[in-house]
Amino acid sequence: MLVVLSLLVGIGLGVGLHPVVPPSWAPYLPMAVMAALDSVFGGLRARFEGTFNDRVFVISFLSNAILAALLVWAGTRLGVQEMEIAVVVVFGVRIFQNLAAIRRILFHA
Amino acid sequence: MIKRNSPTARAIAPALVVGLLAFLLTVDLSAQNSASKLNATRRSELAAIVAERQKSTAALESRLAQLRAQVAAIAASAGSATLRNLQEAMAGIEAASGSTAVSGPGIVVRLADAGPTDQSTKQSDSRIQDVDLQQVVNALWDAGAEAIAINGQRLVSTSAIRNAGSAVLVNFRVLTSPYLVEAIGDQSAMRASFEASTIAHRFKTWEQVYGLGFSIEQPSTVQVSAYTGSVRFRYAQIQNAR
Repeated sequence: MLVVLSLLVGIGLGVGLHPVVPPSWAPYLPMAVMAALDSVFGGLRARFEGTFNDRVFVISFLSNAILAALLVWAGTRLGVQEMEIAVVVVFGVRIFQNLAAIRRILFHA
Repeated sequence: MIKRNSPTARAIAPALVVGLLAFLLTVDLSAQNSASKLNATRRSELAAIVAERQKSTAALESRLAQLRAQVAAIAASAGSATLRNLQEAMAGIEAASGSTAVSGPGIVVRLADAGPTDQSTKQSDSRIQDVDLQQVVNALWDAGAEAIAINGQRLVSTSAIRNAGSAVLVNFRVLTSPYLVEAIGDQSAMRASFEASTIAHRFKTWEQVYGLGFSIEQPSTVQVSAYTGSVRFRYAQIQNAR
């Protein structure tokens, strides 16, 4: 209930405030979002598996998002231009694995 | 103050995190949206520059036409016999070289890109290419055409028909579909000869396979406009070897 409310408030803030992303941040925000999505699906999976821990969820969400953005930033600084691909692949695979686990639990298939 | 492990904190923290995610997602989505909008504005700026240049080119061309008319008027006002003979000779040369508009019987070949029907065919298959126009023009010359223009661009000895991106350039002017290839000549003979050409057969097939537009019209008079570009030869010199 609270989660749904918070979700709606988050969307409302994003749409309503219409914040401007500084151009220098533009490459890092999608990375953070990817990592955050991964954490949320991981949390959902843990919930269905009965191993959900709110502290792990919160910390993994924040650290994943920040680390992913930092990694891409460090990559561009080091001259590794395509660091985004590493992040996208890693979190993409993890999101799919989490979704597959959720599907297995929900549909037993 | 809420205790770290209190039930309230345990309920609120994940909810806050999910809210944060929703916020980040919407911000990111709207940022991507405005990024594509930025691209669009840049494109329209470039388009405006192109339009401006085209306008200035058109202005210069009309000035050129004015000056040419002035030259012709001055030449006409001075009326000695030799001059008149020379002018007559020049009129013939002008007609042959394409610097005057001509009209007469002829045919108009209409070529058009295929509509955006299905995605499976390649872009190049559904578009009229420079080669297509070149072959049509060649077939028309071969069929006895005396003057040819494509969408009003007169073909002269220095004309090139070529692709530039997805557009076709004739005399360095961007042309778009539909392409009207106007040719002056003996109507029935030219039409028969053109219809027997390889390119005409191919176009009949392509019309059905790719949906390209292809038709031949036979108006009573075809107007072929004059070549308006510059005709200055800087390197080629006349050789007096006779």
